[in-house]
Amino acid sequence: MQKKWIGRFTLSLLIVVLAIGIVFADDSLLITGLLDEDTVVPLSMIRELPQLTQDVVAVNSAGKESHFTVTGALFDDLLATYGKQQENILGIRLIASDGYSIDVPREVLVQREIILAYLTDGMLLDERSEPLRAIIPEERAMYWVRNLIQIEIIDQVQSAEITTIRFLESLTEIQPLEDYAYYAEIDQAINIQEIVENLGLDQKPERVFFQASDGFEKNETYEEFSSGYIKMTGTSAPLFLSPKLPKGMQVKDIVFFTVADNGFVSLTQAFDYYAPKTQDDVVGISLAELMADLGVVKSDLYRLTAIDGYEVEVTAEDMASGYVYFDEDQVRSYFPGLRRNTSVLGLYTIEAVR
Amino acid sequence: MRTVTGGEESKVDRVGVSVIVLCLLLILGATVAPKAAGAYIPTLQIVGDIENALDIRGVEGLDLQTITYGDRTLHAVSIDELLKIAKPRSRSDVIYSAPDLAARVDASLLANSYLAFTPENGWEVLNFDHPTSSNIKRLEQIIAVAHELEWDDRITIISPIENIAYFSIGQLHASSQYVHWEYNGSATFTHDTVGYTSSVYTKSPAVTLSDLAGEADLGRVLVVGGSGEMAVYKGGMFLLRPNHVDFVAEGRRGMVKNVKGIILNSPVSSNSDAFHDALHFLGAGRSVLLVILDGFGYHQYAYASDNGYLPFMSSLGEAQRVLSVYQPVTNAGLASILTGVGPEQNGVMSRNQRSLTSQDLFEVATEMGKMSAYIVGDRQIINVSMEPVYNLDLNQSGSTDDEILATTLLYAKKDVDLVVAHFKDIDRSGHTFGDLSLQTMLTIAETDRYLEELITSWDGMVIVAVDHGMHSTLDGGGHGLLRYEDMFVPYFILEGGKR
Repeated sequence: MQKKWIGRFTLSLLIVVLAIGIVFADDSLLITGLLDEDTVVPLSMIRELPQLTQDVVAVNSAGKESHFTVTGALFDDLLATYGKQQENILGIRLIASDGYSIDVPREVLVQREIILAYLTDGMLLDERSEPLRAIIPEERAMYWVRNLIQIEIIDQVQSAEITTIRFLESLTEIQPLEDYAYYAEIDQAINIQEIVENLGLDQKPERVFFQASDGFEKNETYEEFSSGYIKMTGTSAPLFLSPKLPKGMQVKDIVFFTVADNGFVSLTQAFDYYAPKTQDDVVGISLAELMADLGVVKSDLYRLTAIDGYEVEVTAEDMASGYVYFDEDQVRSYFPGLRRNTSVLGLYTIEAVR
Repeated sequence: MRTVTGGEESKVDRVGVSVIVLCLLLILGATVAPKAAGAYIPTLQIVGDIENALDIRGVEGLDLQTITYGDRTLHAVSIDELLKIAKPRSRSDVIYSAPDLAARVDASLLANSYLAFTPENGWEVLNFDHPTSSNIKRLEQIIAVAHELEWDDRITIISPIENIAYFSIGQLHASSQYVHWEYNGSATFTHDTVGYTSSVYTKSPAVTLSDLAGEADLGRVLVVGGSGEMAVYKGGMFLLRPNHVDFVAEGRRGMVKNVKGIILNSPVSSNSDAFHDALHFLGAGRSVLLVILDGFGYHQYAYASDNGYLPFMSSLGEAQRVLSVYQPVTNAGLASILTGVGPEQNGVMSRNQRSLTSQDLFEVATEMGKMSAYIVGDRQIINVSMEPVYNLDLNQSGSTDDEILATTLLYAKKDVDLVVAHFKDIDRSGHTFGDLSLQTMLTIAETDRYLEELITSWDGMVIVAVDHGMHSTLDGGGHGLLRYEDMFVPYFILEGGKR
């Protein structure tokens, strides 16, 4: 008797759960792979995003065109609510309730907008399309998924994890510089080809990120970057430039640039970009601030290496209160309360010890 | 031999109505369902050097006439009428193209040529006046190939020193092509945990860069689009659309729509360098005089220099040869000089735009704490962030350049960090008399004297930039085309002061 009751209760519970599930699925969009856990986005939330109305033309596989007007929200705006950007997504899968799915590759994601449409020609979507229809203007109708219930993030650009900071002022001490004619001046520049060769990168990054001291940010293709120079002396130094690049593509007054897991820092420009702090008569830049901006990987221990090969290790806790500053013309570290041997003169790299 | 039903008196009305109907059905790309249920009618395209590309997908809505050809009676449409809708860009030939056969005829002699659809032959041409070998069956395309085209309707290949070649869209459609398979995507249906995937491709006729420009060392190659965009070529294909060409870069990493041409051995420098150079010198604490000369191609500079019309400027060394923008007109060239970026970023790509969508030089100079002045004639061409100093033709010399000179000399004595002065006379003379005419050379010589006065009076750096060039026309000169005379201009950076 008790067994029968348990059986009935379990069945009822299952029906209730299923019913809730169906209602839930009807009123929400499931996003997987975006965050650590799956994300259920209520349609009401999509409707609250900035509304976009656009005339679109669907072209089917027979070449037939259908013109209509859709209203919805941009997928990029939805991603923004989770601190993500469509341009950093490498691939998504749009999944319909009837089992249809299509992969949207990076080439489409970087060039096109994706509209999560909830109105067509001003009317609610019909049964064939509700609750949402994905619209990718200028792409074929095969991408315009009706009954959209799930978006799977197949792959996304991971935040660059920098493992090594390299100070440009120290790099110039150990790497030969080349003469570079810049307006009427002959300045000194690092040939980037030599930098990247010395890094011995297993896999070349797609892009290199630059941060300038006036706040200007730029992503440059690795191909363009590796054909250029970092001018280390004279006006606007450090300055990324190349005889093969238009002047409009130069980056002046570089605070740092990141190449794969390496962050190259100009301490000179860091003094303009960050608010220098004074501690025990040392005026320097907070390592904690610098490492946070660069996205340096968390580690228990960091190894500091000087241009003469001297090495010392510092704990993460001490790094958080550390500084870098100029002693004469050389980069030097300073850690309040630590022994003097951690104040590395001619500091070249700070490396996370794995 | 032949019978065409329909009286002469009704022909005009019929043509008028048919044009409207065909415009609606064909230009708008409407599909005309075949009369016989279930019958498949393949699409017939009219492509090439035409204003309106047509896709004919059925017979309904066509202005059909009953014709008798030999022992056959057919419903057919006049090819001449179809071409009137397609609007060939100039006098043309048409090529009737089937999968394995083609015939070329003069498009002006098609009064008795008809197009019919029959189940046994598909789309079929019936020429009453031409040899029967021109009666192509299973027709896929009618390609219009122009005899002559306006420059802007061509795809032009240029270098900094010559106009190398040009192609019409019709020529490209009529030439050997690749079929480019462009991956569109893969869709999947999942049934019972099994995924059934299909990948879809768009197949487009295409040509390569070497088909257009040959195999020689091409240097830095730019692909120029109709909206002024310029992409550095690093591989890709030129896709033949019905009446234009699109360029798709390798890996689908970008597209230049409506390609106007290709620039070989293009320099990296452009007239937009003026913006960056001016800011560099201002940042270095120098005052800057930016002189903008209107309509002065590099070939004019070289000719004037070689023939003694530029004694002062020639004494200062050779000018740099830099790229202007497409379209090479004053609005777009000026916008490039004053913003440091091209039309796709500053929003000014032709004579139709005046408002900038990016920061101009005066705005940035102001942010740097610098004082600026913008000295123009009696009107300003594009809207900038500051009020210009206007100059009227007070002495009624027919030019405002002498007034602009006087005003600029006045500002040279003031405490102003940046002065931009726009001189127009070379452009005016080039339009009226021709780019290399004696009158234009004399105007260039006069401008040379102005430059001497300005440069020797200016305590700071002087940049001389040009918005666009000028080419010869039958009645003088013109510009605005993708040709080397319009696209390449001189550029100088000089130290001001007494020589």
